[in-house]
Amino acid sequence: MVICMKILKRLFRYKLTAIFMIIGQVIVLFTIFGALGVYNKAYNKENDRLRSLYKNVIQMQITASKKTDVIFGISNDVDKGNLIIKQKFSVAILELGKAYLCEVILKDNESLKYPLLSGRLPGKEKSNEVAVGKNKAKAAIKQGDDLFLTIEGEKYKIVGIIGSEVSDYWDDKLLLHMDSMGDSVKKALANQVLYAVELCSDSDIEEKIYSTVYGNIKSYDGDSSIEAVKVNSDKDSVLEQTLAKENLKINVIAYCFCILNCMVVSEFWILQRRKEYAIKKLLGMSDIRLIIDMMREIIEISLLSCCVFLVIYMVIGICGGLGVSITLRNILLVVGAEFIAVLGTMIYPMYKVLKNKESFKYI
Amino acid sequence: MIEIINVSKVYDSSGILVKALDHVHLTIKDGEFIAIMGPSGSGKSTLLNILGCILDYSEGHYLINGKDTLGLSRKDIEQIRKSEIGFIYQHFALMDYYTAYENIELPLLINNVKKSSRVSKINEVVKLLGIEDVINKKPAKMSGGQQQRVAIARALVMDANIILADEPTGALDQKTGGEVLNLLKDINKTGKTVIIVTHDTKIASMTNRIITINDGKITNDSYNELLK
Repeated sequence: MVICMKILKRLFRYKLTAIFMIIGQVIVLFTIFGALGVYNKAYNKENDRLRSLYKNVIQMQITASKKTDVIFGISNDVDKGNLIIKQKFSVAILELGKAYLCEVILKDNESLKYPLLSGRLPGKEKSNEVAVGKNKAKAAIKQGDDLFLTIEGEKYKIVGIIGSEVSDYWDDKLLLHMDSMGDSVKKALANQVLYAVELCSDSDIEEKIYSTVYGNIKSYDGDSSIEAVKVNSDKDSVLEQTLAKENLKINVIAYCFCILNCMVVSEFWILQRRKEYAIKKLLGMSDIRLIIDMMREIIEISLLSCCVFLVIYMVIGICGGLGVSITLRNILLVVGAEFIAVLGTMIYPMYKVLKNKESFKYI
Repeated sequence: MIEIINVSKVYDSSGILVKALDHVHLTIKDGEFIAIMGPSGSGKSTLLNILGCILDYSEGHYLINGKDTLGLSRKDIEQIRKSEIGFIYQHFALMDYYTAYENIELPLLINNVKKSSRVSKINEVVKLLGIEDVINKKPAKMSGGQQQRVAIARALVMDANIILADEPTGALDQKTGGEVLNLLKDINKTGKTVIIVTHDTKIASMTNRIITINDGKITNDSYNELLK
């Protein structure tokens, strides 16, 4: 305690520069953590996206010539892979007051890639079932132990919450199964003329399966058009694109600005201390020892800034936090970025100390 | 012993060369009490700074106890300043946020002296200079005379053989100045070499030897026979 007080007293002997230095360092820490938060968020989201991909996918854009029930017969005799309607189909949710895109499982021969936080995926019972992401679940009506949503005017039981602990990739999902769908949704589906259907599998999709799907569509609607694209292992990361949408650049600019700010403040730092350094040099202190002294002081002020940051961080943590988990990688990144900031701060004072001849005139 | 052999110092002031010292010869024996006099800009402070190994010289040789400082490394020069020379300045050159004790302790810390030894050395000089009552005060809370005593204590604590004083009474009133000067005289009596830069003839007359500098040259070097 006594040592801490002594250090604080020493650090705050020139109050204004100490305060400016601490503010600069705290902002540096916030920008680093902010950038890390942005990066982590994008990274986890990207990982969740990659985990949701199948090894082989045939994407089909089906344009029906008229409103038919083509979609209900599409999965006949499909005994390999999964058939899922993705994009371009939305259903109205009463509790949320508007329509949302949903995915519909038409056929599941393989395990489906929807991670569950709780419950199961729809399709097990013949009654109206739905699985939703966290955001949709928030709007659900609770009845007893169960949650319900009104989709296209019909009540659906939420049988599972889709989601991941690390990202919000799944939070807005709405997943239905052909076998557990009410008449209204089926009607809405039948009224579509445009469908985006994916035939997906982790094993090779044989030509025969696609031919079956193609045949099914044509048998219901001979004039429909089908555009199919085979996508092999779409596991290439689009992290950079994801990051580009985030505020990472702002954080990097703020970080650079703060280092510049610390460099400017360090000039005032040395101006205030030049008499001290001159006296120490006069009494025979070596340049190395002076630099170590200076480093110690700047590191002490950086540690103090870390403490200030942690207090603020904890306060923010109560209000939702910065979204950064404490991992070895993150710690190393923070230490590295902080080291660069400290080094940047020290360049000018070090230069002044090493410029031997001029220093004595400040005695 | 200090020997200045043919030393010159030239400053480069924005391309204009100014000769502050011009081929100065000087020998100072151990235990001398010297005043260096001269008008402003005559080169007396330059000479003192060269004697204190603060300033490099352009030409000649400067020997301390037979050791030429010309070829010495920065580390060796620092070592000389640390152990051989004590400095006293007109405006005291004290660390503002240190107490008197911490100011006196500073050279000992720089010399890595052990704590027990530090305490005894500090107590010794504090007693010698009669500054026990201000030992825990910071310079701002002390009078000019007290500050100068602390500065002298700091110069003495490492037991340096050479004491260089640049206008040591310049910022003090006559009475306090006289006391400080008497202190320097007492220090000289212990066998230390004391060199004072001053423009005050009254102060100079209290020393054993007066060196007068004009335009970078020694124009007079006389011994005070009465005090010798």
